[in-house]
Amino acid sequence: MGKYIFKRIGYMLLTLWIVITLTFFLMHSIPGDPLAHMAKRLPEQIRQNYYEKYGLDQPVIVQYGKFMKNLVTKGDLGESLRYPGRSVTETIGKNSAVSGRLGFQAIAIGIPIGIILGIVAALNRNKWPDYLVIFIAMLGVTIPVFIIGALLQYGFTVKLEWLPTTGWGKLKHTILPSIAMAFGSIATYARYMRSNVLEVLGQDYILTAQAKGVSPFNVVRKHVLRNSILPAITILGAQIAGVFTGSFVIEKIFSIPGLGSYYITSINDRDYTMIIGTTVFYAALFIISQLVVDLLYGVVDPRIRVSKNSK
Amino acid sequence: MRNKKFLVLSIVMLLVLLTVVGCGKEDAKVVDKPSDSTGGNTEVATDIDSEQYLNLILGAEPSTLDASKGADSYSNTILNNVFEPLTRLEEDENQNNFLAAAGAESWDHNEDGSVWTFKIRDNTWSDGVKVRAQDYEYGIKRSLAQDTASPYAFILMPIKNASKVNSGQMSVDELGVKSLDDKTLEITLESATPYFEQLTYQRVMLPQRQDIVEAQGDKYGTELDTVVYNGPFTLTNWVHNSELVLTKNENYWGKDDVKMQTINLKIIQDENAIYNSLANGSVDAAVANRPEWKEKFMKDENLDHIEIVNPSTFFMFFNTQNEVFKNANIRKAFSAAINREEAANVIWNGVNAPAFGWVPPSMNLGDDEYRQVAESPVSKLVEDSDAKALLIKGLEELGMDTDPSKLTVRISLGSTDQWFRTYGEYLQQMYKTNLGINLEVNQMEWPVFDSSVQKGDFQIGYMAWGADFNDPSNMLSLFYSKAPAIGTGWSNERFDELIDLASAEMDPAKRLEYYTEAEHILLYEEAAVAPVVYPRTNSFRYKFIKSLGVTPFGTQGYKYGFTQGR
Repeated sequence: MGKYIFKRIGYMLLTLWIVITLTFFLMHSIPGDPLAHMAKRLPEQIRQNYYEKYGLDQPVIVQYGKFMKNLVTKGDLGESLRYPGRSVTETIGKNSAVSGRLGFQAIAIGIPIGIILGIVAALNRNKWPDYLVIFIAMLGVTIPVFIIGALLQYGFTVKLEWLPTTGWGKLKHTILPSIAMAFGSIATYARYMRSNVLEVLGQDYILTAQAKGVSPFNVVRKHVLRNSILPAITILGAQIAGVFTGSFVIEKIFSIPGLGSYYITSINDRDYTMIIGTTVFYAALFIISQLVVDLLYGVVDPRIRVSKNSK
Repeated sequence: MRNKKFLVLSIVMLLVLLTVVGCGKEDAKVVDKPSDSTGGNTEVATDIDSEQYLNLILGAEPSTLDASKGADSYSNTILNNVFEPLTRLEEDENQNNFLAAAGAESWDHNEDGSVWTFKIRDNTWSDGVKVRAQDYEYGIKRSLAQDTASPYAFILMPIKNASKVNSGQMSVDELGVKSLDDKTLEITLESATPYFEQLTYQRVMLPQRQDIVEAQGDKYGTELDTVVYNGPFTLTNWVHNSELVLTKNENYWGKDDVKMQTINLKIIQDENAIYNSLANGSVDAAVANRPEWKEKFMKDENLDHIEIVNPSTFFMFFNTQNEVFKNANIRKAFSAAINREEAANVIWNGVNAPAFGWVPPSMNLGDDEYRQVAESPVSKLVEDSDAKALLIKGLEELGMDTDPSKLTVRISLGSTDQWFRTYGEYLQQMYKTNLGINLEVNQMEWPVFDSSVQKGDFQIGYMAWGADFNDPSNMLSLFYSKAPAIGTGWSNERFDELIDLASAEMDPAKRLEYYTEAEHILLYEEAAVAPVVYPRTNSFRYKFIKSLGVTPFGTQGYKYGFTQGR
């Protein structure tokens, strides 16, 4: 097991390095530069000073060398070009904490509701609760999140005036965005759980359990849930990575100081250091969450525990 | 196996990330909005509200509080309120701007206007230190120093040796700025500059404290506690990308004029969120240009509607090095063929105004608004000429097929969003009808557009340009052939000569003559650019807000604002 994890971490670092390198050269190869966001052509001398100050006048390979050196030796991702003086590492740290809180709240709302709805639907197959859940899941998947967000905002802050329109800092600020974000997870998990539970319900061991006289509640809890939750864990991996990176759309609608907006705006602004910083962050999270998911499989299902002869 | 999958996945993620690039909000960049901080008049209030606060919107996160770095209007808004420039452009009850004493209590210049002396007012920084002339001197010098790499330093070029200091050929000590004593600042110019006073309230001339800047290093201006303040307000809370709070500065020399205790600035970018916030009263003022919301707010009797003319022009520009657009008659045809009124109504829902000149409205020359006193070269062009005839004449001159339907030209648009798609289709239709030519529309994201224009890889481009300071020279010198700012590749000796003459001329009447002729060459004779519209903004605010002004160049900020009957 230890060796397995060790090997995995080795591969993870390799993957990360490839992602960084690719991103670095790709972002420098797209036209435009960090001064473009000013939407004005600045005089030559001014641009020259700027490029010199931020080392942009040097060949890309030299910039790459410097960046890697700082990253490896100091863990430093550099200074944002769009927001002079701000450290990319700090920006990511602070903003991902905000996104993380919101994301976890959304998951905490979304997953249990999704799972319960999925089970309810499967147990009542082809009856009205089933159709209702399928309908909700369909809405959750097809309605874009910005519409859900805008509707919630209009309903609860303009019509009802129960909650603040935008902002960040108190619990009340997080309610609407969490719900808006949870919609997607509810829909996804409900659909997954429904089909998994249906599949498990048809298994012989369920019949055995029922024949033994296990109460319906315990059949669901001990036999159905445990066996049907596995695929749901697979999608959890990607979601956890997404938790810290935040949602561009939701953050924009509710003015939340999360990390989501940086992913989009840094590319438009050609804020090179921020682009590479957010990419490294997301890639690392994604890779780590995949590892965690693989390890979780083993916990939930003894059959896939890593053994010496499995590769 | 699985690892390979991760690798592939990661790369796919990366590519997805890169494709998402297209979904930005480029129009925000093309449109240069003036700062939300506008002036206010100084009417005397008798029964103002006991609690003085405002909830306002800031359109985006300010890039920095370092006056030398950054150039966005959002940080300008904050800087205007927390620092004390030498002067402020304030606003009287008729919304006319006038230059008011601020950090400088008085100023004077020598006979030919090349040496200016400012008497610095008694004022105190928020940490209790006295404001000195040296702080202003340091601020200007730091903005111009080469290693500061200030993007906005170029507007200070009239100062003696500024260009050489900025390029590193001279040390900053040789810059024409020095403090004669703690209270006297002397600025020497290269030569008399008619618009110099307009520079004295710009961010790159704001005072800075050398000890603080040096102690903070690169962190200066990134957080509220890395800066000391000497303006009407201090920044007391700054949650990046979310909210800023300004609080009345009790150390400020003019604190008796400042009535606002607290101003909450919420950073809201989403249009719906802005409208929702205004509708439920969680903000006191907002801009609403979308027709359905504009109408709704106009009907609301609690709201005042203010239309603001932005000092900015939306225009098409031609690549004069291109084999088709090197011909002036063809360019004139393409300018004359634009239905400006129709475009303003159809495409901009009547919010923006058709543009018949290059210098936008709300810019002054001396005491007059330039557009009111100058002729409109594009109106003349449209009246005098038949666009189609001009096109055919031009094609003949070039020895090309004179059948317009055989001509295909390309317009480059610097945004990939839906609005620009519609706009492109409109232009296609318009040129098809008015000239009979085929227009290809090429949409690209802004930085790509910007760099292809620089490379001369375009035929017609479209963009916006907002003025930096209130003088026509700011807009017209963009075509000065030694420092071209708009990539037309166009140059004209007489035009250059007129710009030179006007920038050394102190008499407004003479300058008007020069600029009128220059604009005539630019738009009528040569048609290097084709102005389309002047943007306008519909601002709404609750009626209890008083004395927050509206002029786009004004810099008095929230200084005189108050509420009555909230």
